[in-house]
Amino acid sequence: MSSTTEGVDAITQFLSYPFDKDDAFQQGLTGIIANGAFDCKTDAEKQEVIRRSQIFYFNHTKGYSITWDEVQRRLPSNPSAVPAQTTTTDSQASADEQTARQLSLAELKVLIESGRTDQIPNNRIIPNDLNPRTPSQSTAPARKKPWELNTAATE
Amino acid sequence: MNRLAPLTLYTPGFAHYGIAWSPFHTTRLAVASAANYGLVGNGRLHIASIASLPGVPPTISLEKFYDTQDGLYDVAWSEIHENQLVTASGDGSIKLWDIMLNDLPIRAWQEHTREVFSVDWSNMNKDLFISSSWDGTVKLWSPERPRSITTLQAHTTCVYQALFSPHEPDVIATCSTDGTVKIFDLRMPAYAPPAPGSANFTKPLSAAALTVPASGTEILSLDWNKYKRYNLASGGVDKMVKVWDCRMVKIGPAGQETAFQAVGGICEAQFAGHEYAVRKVQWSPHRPDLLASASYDMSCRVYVSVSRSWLLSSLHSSLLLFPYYLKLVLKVVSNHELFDRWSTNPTAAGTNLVYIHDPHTEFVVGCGWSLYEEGVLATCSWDCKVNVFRI
Repeated sequence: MSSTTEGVDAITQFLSYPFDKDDAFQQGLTGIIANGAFDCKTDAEKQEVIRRSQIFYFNHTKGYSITWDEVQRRLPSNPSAVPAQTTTTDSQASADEQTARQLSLAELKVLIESGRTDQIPNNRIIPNDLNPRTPSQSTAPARKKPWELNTAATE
Repeated sequence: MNRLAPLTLYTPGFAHYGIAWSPFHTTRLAVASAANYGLVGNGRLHIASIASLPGVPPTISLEKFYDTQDGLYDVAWSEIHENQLVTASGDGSIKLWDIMLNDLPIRAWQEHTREVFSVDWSNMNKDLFISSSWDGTVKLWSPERPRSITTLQAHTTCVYQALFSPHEPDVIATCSTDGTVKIFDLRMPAYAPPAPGSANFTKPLSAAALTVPASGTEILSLDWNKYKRYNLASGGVDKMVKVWDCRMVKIGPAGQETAFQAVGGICEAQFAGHEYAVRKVQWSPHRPDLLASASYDMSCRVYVSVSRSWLLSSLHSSLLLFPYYLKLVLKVVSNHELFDRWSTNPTAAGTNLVYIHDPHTEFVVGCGWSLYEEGVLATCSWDCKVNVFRI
């Protein structure tokens, strides 16, 4: 990882780099997408694929070694810019922020081992009750499975 | 359904543990999931559906979800009621849900003393289902009864999966941490004599009709072949997918006459290739020799489990009527030819591999073949995504 001062300079350069005008980068990115990098991805993940490609290209062509985390920290709009471990003294706002994303296994381990289970997302009390309403009536007949249609099951 | 782009359903915060297609609605499926990778926190049952209108690309969307206190490890649809399904939970509970109602289950059972890891609804006795647990037992249930009907002490350690035979109403298969696959006859609830030298009188094991020593390590999943009787697949920590011929099993009174604890099973095929443990295996509902596997190596693979001579002869047969299947067979044949031409290693594996699905970015923990749309496969993963695609 690069030193802080060098890293900051490099990141300023990175953030202002005209990737959209760099034909070599655009060509490479097209290749990455053509190889299925966008398959089954949400928009946020597609943005991450693009950002990571930019970092790789930037480091490769300029000789820097900036990291994903360094870039994330400098992006003002990114809600996950603050690592979870450092939010423990923060207020309700950071707890809500955590709920919005999935914690990593390492982050979970820290919370569990230090007993801070109140900060673990999706850890609510769910009533252990049965539904008081009347269940629905079944109207659909059973369907035959594909293997039941062909009666001559092979041995 | 679109041939090229897989459909994806994203369930942020909830890592998946199991997936099941509805036996009534062709395009509806259920996903069992747990927050925080199942380590701590709630579970969530997702009901999703694929919509395909003419002229518009198909989409998958979440219809409904139910939150539970503890993580959900498996789900099975009712075979008699199109709106109902049963879930297996980390807190040992089993719950029955009606998707026409909101928020809460319609029934709940709490008998297992540890995590319930699988549930399976019988396709032959459609008012019965079974559960398997890390407490070593398998329990038989009816949705109408307040308590379990039978408890099998199937293994001394975790039972990762228990499945009804698709051909015999009272026969089930189990797999476990102990490396075995067992076949039980529910009509013969006898206990096995303790093993020589064993002092374990408090927890005698139920007598299995057949015990298959399937691996030296944990077996995480199994499935019955839908077309070949007593043909099973297994997968586990040894990264292998294995196919077992278990026709030597003695079921019913014949089984009682022979000695308890019959050991057997002929391994008729095994597929290497997964780089980490195999978490789920499932035979195609449409073909006797098509098998899918999901693995912690983040991939799902599909194999054609047949010999080369059969493949070549089948090219001349009625298979030509099924272009989709022919495509797969040709792929295997070409794999075999590549193998013949290029490989000097006679143990080269993977020649029966016909498809790899690898867009997932975390463990792939479940895979399920669409029951009524041939060749459509769904996968679910710790990356909180369900992918549906055609092979």
